[in-house]
Amino acid sequence: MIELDHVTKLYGSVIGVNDVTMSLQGGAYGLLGPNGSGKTTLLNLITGQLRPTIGTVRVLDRPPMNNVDLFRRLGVCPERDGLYPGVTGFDWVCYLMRLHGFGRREAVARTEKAVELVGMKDAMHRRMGGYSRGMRQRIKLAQALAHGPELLILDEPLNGLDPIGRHEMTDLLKQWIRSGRGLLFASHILHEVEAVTHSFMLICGGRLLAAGTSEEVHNLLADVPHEIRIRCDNPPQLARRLIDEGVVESVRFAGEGALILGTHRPATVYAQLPQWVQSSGVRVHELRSSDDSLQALFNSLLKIHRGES
Amino acid sequence: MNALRAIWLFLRLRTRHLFRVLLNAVRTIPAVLGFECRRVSALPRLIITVGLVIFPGVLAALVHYCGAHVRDPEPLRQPERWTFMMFVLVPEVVCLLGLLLWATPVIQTEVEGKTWPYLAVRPCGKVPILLGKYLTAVVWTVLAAWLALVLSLIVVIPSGKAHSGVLVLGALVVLSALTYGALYVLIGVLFLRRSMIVAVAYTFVFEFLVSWIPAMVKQFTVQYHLRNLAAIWLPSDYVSGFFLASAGTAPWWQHVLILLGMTAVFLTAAALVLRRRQLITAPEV
Repeated sequence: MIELDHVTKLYGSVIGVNDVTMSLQGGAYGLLGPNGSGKTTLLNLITGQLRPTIGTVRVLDRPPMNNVDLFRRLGVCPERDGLYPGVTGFDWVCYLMRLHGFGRREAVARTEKAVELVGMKDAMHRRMGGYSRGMRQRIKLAQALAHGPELLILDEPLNGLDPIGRHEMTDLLKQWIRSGRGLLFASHILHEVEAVTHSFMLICGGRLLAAGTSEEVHNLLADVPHEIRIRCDNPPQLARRLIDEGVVESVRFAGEGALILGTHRPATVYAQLPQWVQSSGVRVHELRSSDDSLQALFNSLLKIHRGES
Repeated sequence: MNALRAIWLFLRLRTRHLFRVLLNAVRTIPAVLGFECRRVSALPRLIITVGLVIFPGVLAALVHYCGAHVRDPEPLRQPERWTFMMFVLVPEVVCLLGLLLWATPVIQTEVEGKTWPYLAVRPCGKVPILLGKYLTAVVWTVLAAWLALVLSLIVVIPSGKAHSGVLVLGALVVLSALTYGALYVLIGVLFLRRSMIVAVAYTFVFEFLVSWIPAMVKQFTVQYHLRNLAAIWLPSDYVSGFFLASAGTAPWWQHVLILLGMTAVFLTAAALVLRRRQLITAPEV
């Protein structure tokens, strides 16, 4: 479905995508990465809006740049809301269908069907300048679906949707996947991607850090120390105690009374920590697992990628 | 033999494919034109259009009625003066201003409005959009210029064959809009940022200075051909020294062909550049 062979994209001296090689067979994939990680650049390379500086990109067995045949089979929903404020949602989608080469009647029929599918039938004759964020997301999705593509490429499609809207869109995407068509779905929120598909790729700093199912990525992380951040009134005292107990691999002082522990036995630490804190006479103000944040996951993967772990 | 047959088959398929792509693109241009005409019929553009329509008439009225004195009571009733003023104001100023505003930023507005990524991934996207938007700019400019001409005629009707003078200027408006529109579209595609400044600078240097240089280079300007056409087509009493100063000996059809050729070259170059360019806006980078 999508093949990238040692693809690098440079913007002058800035690297957008760094030596990415991947081969995706048919199915649904989530592209997960923090903001500024290179997701949009990667999607722009795949949709033929950017040319790789090094390497080759093939989508549905074709090079994507200016490929008319490929564009017929591709549905793209960019992240940015580039909508004409004075135009109605219906007119816009219909116009984009005309740009697909459909005649007026066919374009109208396809627009009506797509707009109904995303739940925008009641508002389709309103100007897009008056749409809420959720409505804009829906109409953007409608223009990507209307021509019946084989592969759907969505960049942060659930941004701005309320919980009901998210649920409906997730259902719609699951239905799309069940129909056997391809999906590449970029997001910076893990559970958004997991709700739609279990095959995902992790990208950070323009590098593809890991790919596979969520289980495979969790296995990959098994050897990475779990990080715990503790803010207390006497960090050196607490650090000494933890080292004496032999349960931590690393200890870092992060300033403002914060201590960051790296451990392979987080369960033991969490279970024993109240007792150690009490016996050391240290007052703990805050305790947080850094690994809850997606950034920590990416930091760990980056370390693996660099061979640091 | 087999190799020749394979090449023949490949060329046939390729030609058929290209023909299909071209046909689709041509079919799409009216859709873009229709959409753009509806979209741009907004108040700001209408105000600009009204301004373009009335200012030649207002200037003509000022010159004719306020500039009159005892020895010359009706200054613009003299055909060659009227033609000179209307030529400068309508096929030049009105057309150039309209096209600067509407043809130069055809792609820039889509890129800055973040609408380009939605358009560029369509099978009939880039080139039909360029041509459709170019035609929209030309249609609006021609209509504004024709209305300006009619309004000026209401203010003052020159003596002699006024209808011939108006028809010639009306035809020059069309040629001017087609050629300058294509030129500005090319500048707009080449220079996405500050395209209007580049277009204005180009117009001043090449069209208003180089077109008067008594050398071969003037033939590469649009102005030179428009002035020559005016000198050939206008009735003799409507031709002033302004048109004769740099007149050549070529027949009218040669000038028309050169202008249409320039239009085709500019548009083809713009389309080729647009297909090659990667138009991703800065925040996405």
